[in-house]
Amino acid sequence: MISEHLVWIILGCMLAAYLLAITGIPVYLRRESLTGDALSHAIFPGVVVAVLISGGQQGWVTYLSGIIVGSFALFLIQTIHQKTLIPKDGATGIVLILFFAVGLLLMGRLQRSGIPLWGVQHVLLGKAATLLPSDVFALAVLSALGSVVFFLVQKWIWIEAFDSKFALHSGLPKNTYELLLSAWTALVLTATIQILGAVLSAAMLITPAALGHFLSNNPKKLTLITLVSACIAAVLAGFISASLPSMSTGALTVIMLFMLSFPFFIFHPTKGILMKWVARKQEARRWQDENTLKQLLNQTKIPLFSIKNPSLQRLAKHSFVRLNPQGKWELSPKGLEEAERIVRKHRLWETFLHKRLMLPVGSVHENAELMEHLLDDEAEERLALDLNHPSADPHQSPIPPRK
Amino acid sequence: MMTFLILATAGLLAVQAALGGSFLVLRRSAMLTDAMAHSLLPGLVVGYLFSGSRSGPEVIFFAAVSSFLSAYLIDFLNKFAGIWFEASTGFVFTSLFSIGIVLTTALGGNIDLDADCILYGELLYVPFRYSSTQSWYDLLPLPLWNQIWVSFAWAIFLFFKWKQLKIWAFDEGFCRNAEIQHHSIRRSTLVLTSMSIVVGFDAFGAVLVVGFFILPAATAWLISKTYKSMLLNSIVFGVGSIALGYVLALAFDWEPGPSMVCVAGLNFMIAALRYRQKKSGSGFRPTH
Repeated sequence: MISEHLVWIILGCMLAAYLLAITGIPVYLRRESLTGDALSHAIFPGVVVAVLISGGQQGWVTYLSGIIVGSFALFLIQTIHQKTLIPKDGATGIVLILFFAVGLLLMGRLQRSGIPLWGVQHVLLGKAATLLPSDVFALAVLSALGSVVFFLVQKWIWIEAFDSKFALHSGLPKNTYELLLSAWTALVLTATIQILGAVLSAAMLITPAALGHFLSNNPKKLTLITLVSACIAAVLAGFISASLPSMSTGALTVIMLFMLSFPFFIFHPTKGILMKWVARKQEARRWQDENTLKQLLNQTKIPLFSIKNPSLQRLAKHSFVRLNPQGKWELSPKGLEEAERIVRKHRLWETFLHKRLMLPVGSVHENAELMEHLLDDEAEERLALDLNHPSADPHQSPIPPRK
Repeated sequence: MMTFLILATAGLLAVQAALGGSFLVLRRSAMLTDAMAHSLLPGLVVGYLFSGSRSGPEVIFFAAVSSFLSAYLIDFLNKFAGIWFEASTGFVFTSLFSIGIVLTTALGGNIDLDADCILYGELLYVPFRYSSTQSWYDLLPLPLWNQIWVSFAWAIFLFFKWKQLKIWAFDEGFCRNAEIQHHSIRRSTLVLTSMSIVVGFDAFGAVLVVGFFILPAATAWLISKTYKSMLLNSIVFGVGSIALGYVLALAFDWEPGPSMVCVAGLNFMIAALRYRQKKSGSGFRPTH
């Protein structure tokens, strides 16, 4: 049974996921994914100070101090990266851990002095279960604002992400853009870390955009996939936490995002890890089969082929080879044609290397061993034309004619 | 005596972190330590399920495995699915962390995992945690033994692979040409790093571990001219920050862990300011 309280939680998580996803698109495309993680930890001292001032109410004080501390952290990352030799990720890590430690120091000191800091602990793990309607309202306002601004300036987001120099020349005020983007990211993270926790906010900032970019390079499709996957994950997580009330909705949302995107990374028909692995395996087999055919053709250096040789088994299945009455493997007419085609490519390439590139005869064979697998029929034809259809290669072996 | 035990345990961690951190910072994988420190959480819960305690050998084993697997998965997704390295890092560790949180709640709050414990560890309890097996193993506290074993593993690794490590840290492309197995070097470094992170996490919490992997190494990089001096400097900075941070924490009633990290961070800021003035006087750039 879904209670009214749960509707608020689901709505809040969905809005938070949407808000983070739409903010995450430019952050991800500028290759600053880890900056999001750093920022969500770095605004911690800001949150502590804000809680100290405002007494635990999440209001404009929290947002303001989040923006100030977050922008300062990003400025520091940029400065360290530009003025010293520390690479970007090192600078990110330095600022992340330093700011977080300062926040912890502050928090510990204040707690020991007996000053209560309500809600600060939620910065680490979040508190979606105690989401108030006012929080949801704030998220809704931010989401609306974010969407409007995103769709107004999206042309610049794409241009800046794919070619920042071109954007600069086309009149984008780069510094203002970066400042506004970092201030906005800091604001969004301040609003969401108290609900979702620092790590989960960082996850929802990056993962939807990474999935969108993995599935499409088209800006419109990328945006659509990003936003839809974030919302789906949040709603699914909300319904799961309806039946398992003790579960953290934020963590479930991130797991749902993981389960939405990980199968794509593995099973995507062209980019997926599995498909790439299969393609590589097939390519390796083709090379192996072509080498076997060649070895059968010039019987001289034939190794001892066993009946169970997998390459021969594959060739036999496609009737390139057959067993003769003496129990030995031999080429079928179809296999002979295929083998001659490979030998022709090999020797044409050797001739080309020798005649056109002036390589000595002794050093052309190794390269031709590779190229015989790579040349396609058209390249082979052009090669023969260019060399005036030679009849013998540099080693004086005959080049089989094209059938 | 108790202060000495705490400082000895933390000092050994600082030495390991300085060694591992130097390689990772030079290889542009500094954020990997942060990722690995987060993703030990599911392993921690699984280890707890097996052993029933929060800091047995099973817990350390499973946490180290899960922390190493995260690093492996990050490299894997980056290499084979073509996901940008930083995005792959962010994706993997946050997912593992969430799985850890959900597993924790699934156990119904039986496991004592509050935020304080994750962040601070139990630094002040270090001198009171003994194995209670009534043997020579009781001579030193458990966290110190753990640190000694892992430091020993680091020492062996450095002794046998010093040359390869140095080449790898400087120039991965050259490794490929010189037929040095840089994949296995990276993997071994990450295995040892995950062990250091888990053992350090068990004693001191996540913040101190991540801070000491990144900050002293980065500081040393700015002021060192050779690789060897970078390692030595980062050890000096690490151990020095531990001692100074502890003293400051006692003097001003701060949390010791964050105070040590803040000292290390301050140290870095000073080095960075000095570096900017000198411009090209120090530091070296590895080839990428």
